[in-house]
Amino acid sequence: MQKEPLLEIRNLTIHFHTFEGRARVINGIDLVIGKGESVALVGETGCGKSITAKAILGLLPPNAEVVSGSILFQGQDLLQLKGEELRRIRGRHIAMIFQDPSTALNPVFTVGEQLMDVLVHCDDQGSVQRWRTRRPVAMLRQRCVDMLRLVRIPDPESMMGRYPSELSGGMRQRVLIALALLQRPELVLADELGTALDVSIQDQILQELKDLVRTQGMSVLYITHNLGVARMVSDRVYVMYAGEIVEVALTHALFRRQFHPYSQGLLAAVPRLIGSIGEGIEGRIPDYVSPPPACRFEPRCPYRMPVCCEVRPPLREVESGRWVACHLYPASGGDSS
Amino acid sequence: MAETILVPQEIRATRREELRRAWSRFRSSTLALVGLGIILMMAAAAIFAPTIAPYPQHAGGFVDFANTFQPPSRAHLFGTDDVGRDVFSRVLFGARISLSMGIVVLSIALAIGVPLGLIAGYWSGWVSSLIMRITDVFLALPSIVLALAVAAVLKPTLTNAMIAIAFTWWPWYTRLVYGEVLSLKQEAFVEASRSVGAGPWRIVFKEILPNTWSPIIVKLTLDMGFVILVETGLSFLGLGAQPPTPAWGTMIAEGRIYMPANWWLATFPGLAIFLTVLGFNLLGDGLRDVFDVQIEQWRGGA
Amino acid sequence: MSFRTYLLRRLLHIIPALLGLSILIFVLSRVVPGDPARLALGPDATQEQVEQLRREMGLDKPLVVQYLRYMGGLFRGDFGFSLRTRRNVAQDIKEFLPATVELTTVAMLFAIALGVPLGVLSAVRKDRPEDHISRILALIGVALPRFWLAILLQLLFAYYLGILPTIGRGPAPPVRLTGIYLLDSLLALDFRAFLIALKHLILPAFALSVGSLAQIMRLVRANMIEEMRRDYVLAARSYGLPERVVIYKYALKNAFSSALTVIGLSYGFLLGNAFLVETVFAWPGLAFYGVDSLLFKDLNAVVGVTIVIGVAFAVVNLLVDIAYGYLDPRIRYET
Repeated sequence: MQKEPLLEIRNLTIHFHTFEGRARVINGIDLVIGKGESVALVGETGCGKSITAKAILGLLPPNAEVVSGSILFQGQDLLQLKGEELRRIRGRHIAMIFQDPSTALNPVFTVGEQLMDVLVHCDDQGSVQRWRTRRPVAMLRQRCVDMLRLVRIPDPESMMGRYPSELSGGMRQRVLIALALLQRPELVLADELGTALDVSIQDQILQELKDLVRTQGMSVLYITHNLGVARMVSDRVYVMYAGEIVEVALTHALFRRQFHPYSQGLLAAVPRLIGSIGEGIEGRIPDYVSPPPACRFEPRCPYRMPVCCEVRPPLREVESGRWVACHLYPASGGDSS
Repeated sequence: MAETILVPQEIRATRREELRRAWSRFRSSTLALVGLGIILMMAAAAIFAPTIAPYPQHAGGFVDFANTFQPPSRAHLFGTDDVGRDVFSRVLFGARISLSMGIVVLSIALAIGVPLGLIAGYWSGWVSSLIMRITDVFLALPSIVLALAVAAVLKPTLTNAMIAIAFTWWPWYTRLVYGEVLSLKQEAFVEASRSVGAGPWRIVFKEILPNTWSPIIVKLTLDMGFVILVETGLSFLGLGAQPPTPAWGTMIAEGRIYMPANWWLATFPGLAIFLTVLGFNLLGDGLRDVFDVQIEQWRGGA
Repeated sequence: MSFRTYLLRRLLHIIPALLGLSILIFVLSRVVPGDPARLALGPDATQEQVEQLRREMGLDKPLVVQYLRYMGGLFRGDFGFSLRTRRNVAQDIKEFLPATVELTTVAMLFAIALGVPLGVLSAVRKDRPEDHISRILALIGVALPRFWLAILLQLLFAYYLGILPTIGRGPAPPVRLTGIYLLDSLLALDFRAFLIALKHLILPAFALSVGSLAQIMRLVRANMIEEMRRDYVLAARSYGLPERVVIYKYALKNAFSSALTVIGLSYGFLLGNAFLVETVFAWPGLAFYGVDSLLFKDLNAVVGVTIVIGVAFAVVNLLVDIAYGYLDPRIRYET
């Protein structure tokens, strides 16, 4: 990696306790995001992308268990943090843009109140001190209005007094971006951004966010099932399959050539980079309670070999900057990650 | 389910499967089982009162002035009252009154409320809106108040209290069935039988009615408790059963005069009411989870 | 449909229901077996005296005429003559209504003030000991016969502990403005009178509130559990909002507004049970008056009390609708 890492996920393994048994949903993944870098995590719906994002923020549902691994953010392991310490990371340092603009805004508060709450309640100081040193409300309000303007909301002043139910989907999505960026986080997690919107509005919003993070020097993790989106916004792509990373490459390199059979299937399935992944590949994501023993893609793989059911292929660097987890490709150099 | 049309055998098979699952869910609910236990106990007390009661003759206008106001003891578990009657025996007989009262009231409410709800829900038009406007009138008043007013114009007897409560209770069932019918009317299986030429009465009684049973059963169970609360309330105010009938409400009203020295007179009948209502509520809550139905659990009066 | 039209439609729904109620009660009261005039004058009165009173009361006219006359009077504030208190029922209602308003309002506020936090606690600590205890208390609360609880409370606090008064409202505050003792004493800045009024209120208000308290608690718990799973709650957490803001502001406002309509309905619950609780505590309210009238077959009073209670119930539900619209903007803007 040429850039200094901001976030490093190491060997993250997450299991869910379900009625059917223990679901091994995230199976030892590694992921690095550099400072100022835009990274895309692509995969089919249900492959564990959103879980990964929620794990970073410590927002996993109660039946999830982090079995092993670490998530280093600026050298600090987020998985070791207690509730209050983690809360101070959320929003201030790492923020998430939620997927569905129709459900992620609270319907009974105005846009202004939701923005103001973030500024008023999320100061790093203790609550007692905050009362004394509270900055003038007018100043906080101005910051909210500025942020709304930054995400290109027309007439931000009047937007402050409106309820989510009065807004269009595109406007709500912009408000959600404003909420996430309000505290100027170093890292933004964008979960299926714009999926719920019209394609034209989605493109517009993605383009704006891309420009915005570039000028603000933020890093972004785009979580998407849409390869077109990944190509448009990211510097580097992680391809995820069934809770494992199967290929990592620079975006332009990946679109030129795919190594992992899954990545190949993905691109073959999406001729002009629109539409969802997974349509062209036979079969479905395996059962997480009893997944295939070694390579999880083996049952769907056109090139499967005997070794694929015996040894899990490690993620290996097969050419400069390209890492693949597949027995088809012997390592170019050492066997490390 | 909404899209697929099942043949009768399949429906029966799914129903049996659903019942089996429901039963296993029910068994895993401790509270529902406790409720069932309480109700069975009360039902046994009611049925076998003449045999279990140590002094069955005390149920009526018996007097024994040598034995008045005895505190609870081995001979008189719940003590004796102002004329020397065994409170325990009377409480057992009281279970007969409250339970049969609940059953009769709810049977009447069902007999009136369900057909009206079916009619109002299946056919639209002035009859249907008239029925629903009438239920609005009845629901404009907390049911205990309406029952009081009705009981007041009649002679204060147990039968009249029963009539009064039933008179206020049926609109809840009309409303419940009405709502169910409105949504069932759209279902595929109803459409299907309509398309093969089934007449409206056939559809209403063969297709729709059987599918409204689970919310009705849940509501009936919960309502047993509420009816008993209203009935004992009426008796307490002197508008229901009259002395020497061993109705729980009447016993509390009588016993209250001799408070606080003779606390047992009012305490034990009240405890019996509480336990019975609790039992029906626990069972009703359990059944609601089992059948997974949403019903209005709010009532105006109980 | 704007919120205003919605409220207007609700109102248009309520008025025919109340009119229907008045007809129902009126007809019931006139088909009563037994002659109210004879009942009022007692067995010693002569037949002539009875006929005289019947004419005075308009009982010799057809039912429709009687009803229209009655309704005409009602709108002029004339509820007819009470055979028991020997004055106009309107006067009686004016005298007794404030005590019931005071009792039921305090009971409702109490139910909300305790039911909402308990519901939240139960939801936040789902399946922990606090949750189990609150849920068991709620189950007990729903099943307790209010009048029996009232008697037990009297026994415990008034008789054994001797710390609270057993019956009545205590002495009236020096000035009667609203007839609500708590308010009157406060307005007169007489805090001693306020305290006395409060002491008399505690037991009856508590006995009356347990059912609603339990229902509100159960409902708030269920709503909160549902709210805590919502996307916007997760989103609020992701912005780094403290847990207390997420729970008590973001989740609770939603949970509470959907519980509101039911709180309105449960006011009917309170009004109904007031008849029992007021009787036990000899609380000189409308329900107490109503019970006496019922037992005496004082029919004008019975009709008057029922109609007033029907109106009160309707007004409370309308107020609740307004509050709901205020709390939840979706009601105001959508559909």
